[in-house]
Amino acid sequence: MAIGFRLLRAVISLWLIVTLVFIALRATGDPITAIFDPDSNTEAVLEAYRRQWGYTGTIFDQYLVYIRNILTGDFGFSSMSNRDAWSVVMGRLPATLQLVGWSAAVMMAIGIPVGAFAAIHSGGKLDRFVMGFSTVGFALPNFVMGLGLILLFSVNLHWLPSNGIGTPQHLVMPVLTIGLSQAAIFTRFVRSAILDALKLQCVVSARARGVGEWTIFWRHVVPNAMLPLVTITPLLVGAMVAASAVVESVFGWPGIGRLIVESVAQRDLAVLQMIVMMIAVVMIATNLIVDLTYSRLDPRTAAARAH
Amino acid sequence: MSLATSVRKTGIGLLHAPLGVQLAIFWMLFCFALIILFPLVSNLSVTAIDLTARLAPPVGFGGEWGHPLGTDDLGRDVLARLVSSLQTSLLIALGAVIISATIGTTIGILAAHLGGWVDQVVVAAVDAQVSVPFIIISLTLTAIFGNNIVLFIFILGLFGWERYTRLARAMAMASRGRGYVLAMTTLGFSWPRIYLRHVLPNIASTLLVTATISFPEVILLETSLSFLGLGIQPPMTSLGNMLGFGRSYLLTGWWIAVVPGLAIFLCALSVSVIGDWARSVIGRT
Repeated sequence: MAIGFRLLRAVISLWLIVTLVFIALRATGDPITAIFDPDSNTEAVLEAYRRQWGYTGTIFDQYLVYIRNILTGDFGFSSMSNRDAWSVVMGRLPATLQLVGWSAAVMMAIGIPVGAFAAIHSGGKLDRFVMGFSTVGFALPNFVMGLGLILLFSVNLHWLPSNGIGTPQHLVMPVLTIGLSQAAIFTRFVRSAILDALKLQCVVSARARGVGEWTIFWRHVVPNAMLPLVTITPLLVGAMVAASAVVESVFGWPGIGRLIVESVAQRDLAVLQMIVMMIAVVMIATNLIVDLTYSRLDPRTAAARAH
Repeated sequence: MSLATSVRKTGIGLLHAPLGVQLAIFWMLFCFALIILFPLVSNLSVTAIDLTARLAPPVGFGGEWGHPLGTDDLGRDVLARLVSSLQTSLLIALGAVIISATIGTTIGILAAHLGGWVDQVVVAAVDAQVSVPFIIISLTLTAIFGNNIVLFIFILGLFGWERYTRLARAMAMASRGRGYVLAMTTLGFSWPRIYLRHVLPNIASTLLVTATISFPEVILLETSLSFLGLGIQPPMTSLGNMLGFGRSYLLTGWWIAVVPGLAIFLCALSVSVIGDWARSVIGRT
């Protein structure tokens, strides 16, 4: 029942977003005259396009056509690339997935060990250094850090290309920019999750029973620290999406993030609406998966629901 | 804790603040002093073009005191542009935080007071807002409604409204059970008066703490959007669009990008350091 209810809520959220996008698009006026100049096209031509793209009838009829089109993957025609929006966006997806995947790997490779070490030695020199690093990382925006890296590695040292895609060298700076800035946030979460888990009674009692520190860490601390970390996953995914919009523009990385900025600058609403819905699907799916994983990871929430 | 107590505690704490916090406060005071005093003491202009001194480096890197931080590709003074950008970015961020705090708090209190379906809608809206990255929402609004300064400030003013709404709603609900609110209700005072004069001052310090968390984030959002060319437009200048233009000159004039970049970093860092510290002094996590 719980799963069915959550799925229903996810579908309702999606439907709400599609509806909001529809309202926002129609609020800006006639979509046909936005694409075709009414002065250079006759009324008959405009009318033909209206009929072809489902802009006839009442606003409710148009809404139904819109929903049907979205469900069949028809997001309209990209005015900027002269192709259908679906193929434009899908063509850009692999580059972004590559960037985000490597960045997430860097984030976890730094965040998990450093955060755990800082929590275990909390109050120590390294802990204070980590917290300082995290504050600095939070205040250093992606584009400032990206330009700093370009200045250092491309302009001064001539080690790495500043722009484009293709070789592993092209990946280094964008991945470092997103990975390090996300690590600044993630390390802090790992640290506080483990710090909280260390204070639990089960840890204290295990220590009193004479269980080894290593066993306590894996048997009691890690499972309990997993819960808050799973909860922040949607937050991290959202931050990755936001970061890729800026970082892809800095490094000329031809992915979805740069496509958003281009489509906003060119007012290519077909592409933009598809990206917005894609992000919405990703965020809603992430939330759903987290919800489901959470009850699997934490038997207490499942038990509480049984009452 | 009431607002007055919080302010007094912060004032006392200031004397014993760590060095980092004092430096942060010093930097922000320096920025505000620069914004106010610079136009009074200097005749360097934001838009004046000095074609004989194009791409002049800063003092210490071969430049002269006529243009202390150098000039850009058109020979415009970088220091004068920095001051003007600081003013734009800080004022817009401040304005946006005030707008979102006002909107968010009002919605939160209304939701708590009215309850029923209004409350349900507000809670659903807060959940929806949390699940979508704000930069995507602001980009979409910019694409649909076009780019102008009034809309831009309004969009920034929406940033973080849900945080205030959540807090104000929860605290207004809690305060309804408090003795003083019951007493005022019994005495027949009107609801707006009770909320404005009695509930709001009691929750203000918590809302203020939320505002200190939002402030650096709004600075970063504004500079990001302006950097992408989708925020503040020329002839106005902000730290973000100054950096956006400067990135084309990394090879020939690194200072054009480095100066605003450092300013963004130092401002965001200072504000969040001050915010962290104020939170620990006021004694709320």
